[in-house]
Formats: sequence, structure tokens, C-alpha cells
Amino acid sequence: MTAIHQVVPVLLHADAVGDETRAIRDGLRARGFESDVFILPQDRPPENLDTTARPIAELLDGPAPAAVLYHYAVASHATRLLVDSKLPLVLIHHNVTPARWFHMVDPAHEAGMAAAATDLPLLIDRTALALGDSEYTRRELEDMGFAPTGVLPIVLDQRPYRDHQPGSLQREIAEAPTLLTVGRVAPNKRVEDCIRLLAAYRAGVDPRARLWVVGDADRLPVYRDALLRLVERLGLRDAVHFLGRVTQQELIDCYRGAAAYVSMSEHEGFCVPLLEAMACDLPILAYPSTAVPFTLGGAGLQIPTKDFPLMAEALGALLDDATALAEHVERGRRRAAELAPERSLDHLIAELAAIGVSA
Amino acid sequence: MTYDSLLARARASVEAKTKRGVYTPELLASLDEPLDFRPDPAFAAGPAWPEAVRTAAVAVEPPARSTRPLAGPVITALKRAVERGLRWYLPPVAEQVSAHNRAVIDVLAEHNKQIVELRAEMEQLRRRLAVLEARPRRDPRCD
Repeated sequence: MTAIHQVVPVLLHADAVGDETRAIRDGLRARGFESDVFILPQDRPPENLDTTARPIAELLDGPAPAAVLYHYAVASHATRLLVDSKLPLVLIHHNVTPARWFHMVDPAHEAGMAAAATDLPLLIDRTALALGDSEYTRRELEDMGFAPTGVLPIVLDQRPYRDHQPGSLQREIAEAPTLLTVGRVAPNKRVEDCIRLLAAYRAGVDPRARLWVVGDADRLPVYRDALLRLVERLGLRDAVHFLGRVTQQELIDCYRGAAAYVSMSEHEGFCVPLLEAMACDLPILAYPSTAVPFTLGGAGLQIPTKDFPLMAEALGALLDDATALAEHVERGRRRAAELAPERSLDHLIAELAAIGVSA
Repeated sequence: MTYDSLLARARASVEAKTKRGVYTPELLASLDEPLDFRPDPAFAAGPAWPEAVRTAAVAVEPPARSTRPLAGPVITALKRAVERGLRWYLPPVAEQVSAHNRAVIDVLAEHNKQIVELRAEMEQLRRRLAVLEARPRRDPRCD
């Protein structure tokens, strides 16, 4: 049986890369491959560690598989181990947020991102194939000198988003028109622009509107505190709600009960929440930066200027027009179907076959 | 429906509401204000800062017991004798060094604070400039 294994520094539950790694492993197994996930030794295992992963030493010391898919998003010792090994590598690049976003916010993050960007080229001569999770990321890889390159959209199981039983949070978020944004609360996500958009939306469109921010806000306290000061300054204390990390049930409740999803992010390698929102039939207003237009395809209301009154009015007009809204949601649904995990996995198998790896 | 027609409606709506005073100049100015970052002053000092703070106070510890076979007890007794002999001298010197270190740490902490404040101010000005540069230039003949 042909073996295609994966390496990630750590395999976590409730984590975008972790979820994709598991989906690829299960998809490869279902297609007749032997497939396991290997991780670095964990000194202090996090609570949400997936214990099905095996130590990387077993991969390095064991028989060589036909390919090792290496998920790259952060700097880690795994890069050096794989570069120094003889294993046949396929890079799956999730993109690295440029370090400059963390300047004056968190020096450790800034240094970590800079290290991730510095280490990536070590893999150029060692990879048989480099896949970006969006066309944006693929172009970055190509510009760096990786060849051949391809696109592997994030493999996301969309079934939980479609077959969802509403919970209490869905009722709560639907009580008032709520703009939703999801993701770790980090400067590149431009959560401040979501807050500014809300201020314009309340002034011009609907004074009852709220903003719910879902995602870990505690890792970058300097940024979080600056956001809280902005909320105060704009008089939005009762209208902006930071929920922190939530369960998948709660997350889908938010997508299902919100009025619209808003993305003001200025750096994305793919932006999973856009796909999740489309899978939940949630209207989207997005600033089309980096990978965002590639993930949305023709879906989502994309406005390339941060003119908040204009964005607010456009979103208000969309939500107010039942015909336009139905067409908008249908576009999102079609785009989510294009990004179905089965299609991504078939595409991965075809990309691997093109470099001589097949069952 | 095309998004272009939606945007055209939105533009007309913004114009009308601006004229009616819904989107006031004060609101628009407040939306342009950059974020007010207030980083921890220790950021400016770099990774060695916690160690500098931790080792600032110098203490005169009693000598460690020697574990050498046979000679150990003699060595320990000698060390203790030397320590007792210098007790009138070493602790006050250590206190002087500690006081100096504490003063240096205070000065450095103040410098850190000022460096971070200056950097934050520079960052804020940079962002404000970026906002101004991104605005469409107004034709001076319209003023």
C-alpha cells in the first residue's frame, strides 16, 4: 500500500490546520493510501492536542513513504529535520503573516513570523511539489522559486455547517442585526476596521446593529486593549462583543444567526471563515485583500476601498433587497460547493500523481 | 442584481445622508483615527530585561558546604571563618551594589517607557499619514 504521510509541528483539535490535516489523512485512507500524521515532541502538550498523531522520530527512522506532506504556517524545528532527511517532501503552505503586522504589538510574534519567512526558502530545493492553499499563496511560492507549484484549497468538512441544529447562541445573535467576524484577534485581521464599519452602519443604516468578534483575543493583549479603547472612543461599548474561543456548535450558531459576515482583513492565506460563512448561507461583505478574492471567487460583496459609510450603505442595501440577497447567498453556496473537500482531495491526488505518487 | 448597481445606490445614499448630516465630519474624522497602541515598556529593552531585573539585587549567601571526602568539613569551616571575618565588609558593599543596580534599572525602565511612547507616537503618525495619503486629492480650485 502506498504511504503518504503528513507532518505538522503540532496537531490540534479546533484548529484550521489541524482540521485540514485530519481531513486529508482520512481522505487519503479512504482512497486506499496508508496515511498518518507525525508531530514534534511536545514538552507541555496543549489541552486540545490530538493524540492520534505519532512522534516525528518514527517517520524519520522508519521506512520512507512515497511522499510526506509538510504543512507550513509557523517556524519550527520540523523544517530543519525534514530538510536534513531524505524524505520526499510536498509542501502545503498556509502562508505566513508578514512580521510587520506585529510591530509594536508583540515582539515574540514579530520574531516568530520573521523566522517562519526566513526558514521557508530552505525547502525550495527539497520539495517535489509546493502547494499553496490559494492562488495568492501559490504565486508567492512561485515568486520565491518553488517549482512545480499548485493550489490546494483548504480541505474543510462542510457537513456540520449545513446539517446544524440551532443552539441558544443562534437565538441570541439573531435578537438584533449582528455583523460577525471570526478569527484570532490579530492586527492583520483589521478588527478595528470592523469596529469602524459598525460605527458607520449604526450611524447611517441601523442603530440597533452590533458586532460580534469570535476568536482568541488574549494572545495579543496590546492589540486587544487598543481595540477596546477604540470601542470606548466610538461609544460602542454595548454594541461590540468579544466572544473569545468558542465550540464548533457555538461558531455555527453565530454564522447561522448573524445578519452578515464582515472581513476587513489585509492579510489572508485562504481565510477559512469566508468558506464557513458561505457554507452557512451568510451574506458576506469583504475587503478584497491578498487571498480573499480567490477564496470568494465571484461570491461576496467585495469593496476594494475602506470607505466605511460606503461599505455600510452597500451592506444595508444588500440586506434590504430580498432578490439581491437571495442571489448573493446562492453565489456563496455555489462557491462553497466548488470548495467541497472531496474536490480538493481529488485535486491533491491528481497533483501527487503528476509527480509520480499514486496508489 | 450586479454589485456595481448596488455600489452606485450606496454612493448616492452616502451623498444624500452626508448632506442631511447623518455622516458628520466628526464621525468621519473619528473613523480615521489610528489605533492607540500602548505596548509594555519592557518591549524596548529586549529579551535580556527580565534577567537584568532578576539579578539586580546582590545578596551575600552563606558559603556552600563542601562535599569532598575527608577535607570537606575543614574546607567548610574555613569558608565559614572567612565569611564571618568579612561580615562587617561584604553585606554593606552588596547593599551599595544592589542600590546602584536598582537605580540603574529604574533609569532604564524610564528610558524604556519613553522609547516605547515615542515609537507608539511615531507608529500612530505613520498610520495617520497613510490614511491621509490614501484619501483622494482634492482639487484646490474647489476650496
